[in-house]
Amino acid sequence: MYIVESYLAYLAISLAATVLVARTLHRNGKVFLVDAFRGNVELAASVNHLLVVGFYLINVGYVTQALTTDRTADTVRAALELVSSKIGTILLVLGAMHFFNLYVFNRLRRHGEEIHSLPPVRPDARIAMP
Amino acid sequence: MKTLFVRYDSRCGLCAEVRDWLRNQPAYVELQLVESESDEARRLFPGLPESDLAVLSDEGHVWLGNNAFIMCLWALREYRRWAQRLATPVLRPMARHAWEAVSRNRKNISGLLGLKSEAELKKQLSEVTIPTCPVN
Repeated sequence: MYIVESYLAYLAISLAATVLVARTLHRNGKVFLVDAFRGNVELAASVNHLLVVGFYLINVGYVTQALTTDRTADTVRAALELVSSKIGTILLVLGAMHFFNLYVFNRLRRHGEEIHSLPPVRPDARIAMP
Repeated sequence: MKTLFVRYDSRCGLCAEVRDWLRNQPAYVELQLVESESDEARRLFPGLPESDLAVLSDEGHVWLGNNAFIMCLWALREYRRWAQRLATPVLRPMARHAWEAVSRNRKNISGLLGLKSEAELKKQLSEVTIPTCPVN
């Protein structure tokens, strides 16, 4: 009875949550990436954008894939429970994806630090090179 | 820094083994491996003790012994983090002791593991006397 309304509510809330998380990721990931790419703002912006596109594709894909259900929504209570459990799953997936993205950002930053690190030990001598 | 010249003991089998290992590792900085008894080593490392491992950067900085080994690890993609760890105040004395123990006993370790350098093989082969066939 309320199944179409449930689907619409689920899609609206899930997509809004995806957009919210993706925007947060895009805004705050930039700082990490600029540091990882040693101040190369253009490259950082490009990688950031690509990561967010991947994030959108996976999440929107999952949200639409997980839309259908065998459960019925004959009463308002059943409809609310259905929407709630579905959105709960989506939020958990979003959370996992968000932490995965943080892990990727941090790895890129550490990798950048490693490549450009200075020798860890002081030289014992210095000679004039020809 | 683009290149590190690494001078190793050319009369030690273990050193030759480590040299081959170094050559096969992906590196951030190119490693040029130089035999200690070569003219190139004498030209690149003038007046430095010959018995020890030495690393020279293309900027003229020299590292010896344990520090040289840490620099070799630092040049490698897979081992840069290890080099940074070994250079910390906690691990550095341990790394130095381990390095000194291995370096002092490198000939014995090579003997135990049956490792021979090219120089040793050449010397050994030159000592072989080939029996002559009796001519009727």
